[in-house]
Amino acid sequence: MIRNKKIFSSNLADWDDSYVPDSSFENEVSPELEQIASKIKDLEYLEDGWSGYNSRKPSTDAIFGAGTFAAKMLNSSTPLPDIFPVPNGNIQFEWSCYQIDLEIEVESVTSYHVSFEDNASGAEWEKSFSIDLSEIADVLRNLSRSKTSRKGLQLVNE
Amino acid sequence: MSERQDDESIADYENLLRRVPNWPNMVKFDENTQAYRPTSACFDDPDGGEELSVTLETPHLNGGGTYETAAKEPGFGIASVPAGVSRRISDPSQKLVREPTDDDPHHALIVGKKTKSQKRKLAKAAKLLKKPLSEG
Repeated sequence: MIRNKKIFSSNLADWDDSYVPDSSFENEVSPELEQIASKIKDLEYLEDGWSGYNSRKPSTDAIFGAGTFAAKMLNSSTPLPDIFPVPNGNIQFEWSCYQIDLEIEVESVTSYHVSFEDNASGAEWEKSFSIDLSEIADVLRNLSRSKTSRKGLQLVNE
Repeated sequence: MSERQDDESIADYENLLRRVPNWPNMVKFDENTQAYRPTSACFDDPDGGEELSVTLETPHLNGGGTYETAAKEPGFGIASVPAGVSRRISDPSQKLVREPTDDDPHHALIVGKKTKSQKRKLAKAAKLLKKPLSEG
């Protein structure tokens, strides 16, 4: 197994070596995950004031939290998220696809603020999470299923 | 803050201009609407977006301003959201307040607590008038 440490090595000296990703994590680091890692790493270069005089650069906690979240919760079947800094120093993952709007704002490895909207059914919720991310995992699984079934449809139609 | 009054002279059809940083580029392609739009993070600030800065489009343009001058920073983009939508993202409504500054006589604020979903509603209603320029 490739250690997750390899992905976010520069600023993350306190990475927990004992961490073992959940069973959905692939043994190889996928190109998608490398891409996500690279986007998160780029945000390390932001300075305070990047979005107006009082905006804050992403905090070390948010960068570490975002990297951990990506390594633990995303895999190659997950649609690629957009990743943005938030002016308060957090980092946000966003998906707007398959009639779903999902935003996960990472404050730290134990603090996530999430808003979800299903444009098809009208279902909508907003919650904060700390340790148990199973509800987020369910949404991500559904997104992955949608991606896979669309791919299947495309293949059938080709 | 709560004693702020909504300025009814700002018509619901007035467009509110919001700056969109270019690094990182704060625009995304929304596959659900098949259009580019700013991220909801553009409608946030370190204080939770409770007093969100905007520029009133009509007086700004009538006064000789452009979208470039509204963006202030080279390369920044500009998105617009109708005043009426901004008021109605929450219940009770957000308040629109004129607050001219030295460098923006048509500066205004969208005042009120905003949840993540409400910021996303602003972002989804936003029209990209000037795309931020990619760096380098």
